[in-house]
Amino acid sequence: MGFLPPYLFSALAVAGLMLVASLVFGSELAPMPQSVIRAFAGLVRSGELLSELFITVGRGIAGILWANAVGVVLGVAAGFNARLFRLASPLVAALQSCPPVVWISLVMVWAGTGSAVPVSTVFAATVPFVFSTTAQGVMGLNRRVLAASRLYDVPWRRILWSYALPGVFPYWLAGFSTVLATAWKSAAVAEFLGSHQGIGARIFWSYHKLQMEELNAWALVLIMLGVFLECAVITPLRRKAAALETRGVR
Amino acid sequence: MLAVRGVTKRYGKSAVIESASLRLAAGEILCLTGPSGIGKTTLLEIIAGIVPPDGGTVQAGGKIALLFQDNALIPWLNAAANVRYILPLTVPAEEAETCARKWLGRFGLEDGQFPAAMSGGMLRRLALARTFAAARPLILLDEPFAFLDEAWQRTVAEEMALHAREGGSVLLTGHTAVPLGWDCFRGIPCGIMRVSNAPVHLAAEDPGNAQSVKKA
Repeated sequence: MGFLPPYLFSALAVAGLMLVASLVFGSELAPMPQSVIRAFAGLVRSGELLSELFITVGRGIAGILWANAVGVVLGVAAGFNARLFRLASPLVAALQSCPPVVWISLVMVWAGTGSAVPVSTVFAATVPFVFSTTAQGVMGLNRRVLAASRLYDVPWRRILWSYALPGVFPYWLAGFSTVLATAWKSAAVAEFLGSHQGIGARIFWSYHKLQMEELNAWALVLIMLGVFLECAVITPLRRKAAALETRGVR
Repeated sequence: MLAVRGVTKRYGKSAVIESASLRLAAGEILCLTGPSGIGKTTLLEIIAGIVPPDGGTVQAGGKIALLFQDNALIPWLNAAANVRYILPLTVPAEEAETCARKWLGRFGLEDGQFPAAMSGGMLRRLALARTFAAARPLILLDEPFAFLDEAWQRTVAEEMALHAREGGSVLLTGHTAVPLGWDCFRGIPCGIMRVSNAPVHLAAEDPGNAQSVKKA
């Protein structure tokens, strides 16, 4: 349990800040930590937390799946075709630097509010990462091994499973950790601006009705989701990707 | 077994190989010697069909195995899996395993070793084991003695000689053709083509660069 003290320190620091804010702005605008925890417990008891969490996470996963379906296919094509990669690079850089609010406003105009907004936003925010890491992985494959595979008439299925996919996987994995980190933040922002459901939407409604305990409780949920993803998924994925990349040392 | 006629290769405006011709019959060994960067590897890759020539023809009378200069091994497969990788799907798994073990043993390697944990010499021996395991009549070896001590060089030479005695042919490159003078090659037609100028201009008929065949 050696990891507890730093997390405990962070939790106490946040509680301390909330306490100070409450004393400065008053408990109506900045609720005391115990009120937020009570509101949080209420969300857990009523089942709202779980249902909204499922909605947000589900939208995030849907966006990630779409981004992978498109990004991997295009990334493989660009990885094998240097000209295509060069052509696509400025567009990918532009997409990567594009703030989610651009996609959110466009999708709201095209598709109205609802799941389409967060799913499309997650897709647009993550597909450039999937594309570029997959393309880099394909470009990192040793062309001599591919030449040897052709020379010895190695069947394409064996090339794919024994060489190409394991070769691209560490790059994809490194990109996927960034995709996860980006996805949940984008999903929450998109829900805040363009959806009636999900954690982001609940934050919006709490803000709209000035229900500060609930607003803080939903913010707490979002932070906990981020910390969970970082500790339980993203960091192990990055470690795994780094370990896989070192296999290639010759 | 192999006939190369007037092969030319250019990268941009500079010619790497200019009108190279050579012949190799079944049971023969031919060594291309010369300094680095002169086009020997390119010529082997053209013969193997990996690099397209700009001119000339290559006729091979059988399937080709190639020892790549950079070994072209798969880092995440162990030694046995690297050898099995190039074996045809028609070879049953058990037979492929036996074949891999046989060639790895011949080159002093163990099945489970991974390339990342191997020295330069071990990687070379693994690449050689894979090349010979392919069991193809024409074997192209790019610098087969590089990174190897004399004992392993002799093992490679013995395998080459055995391959030639069984009716196969070997075309190799090297900075020196000294190993072809070793006893194991006695009775095998061995040729040496020296390349001293770039672009490579090889012609068996050219008296200045003749394919001298030593028949001991």
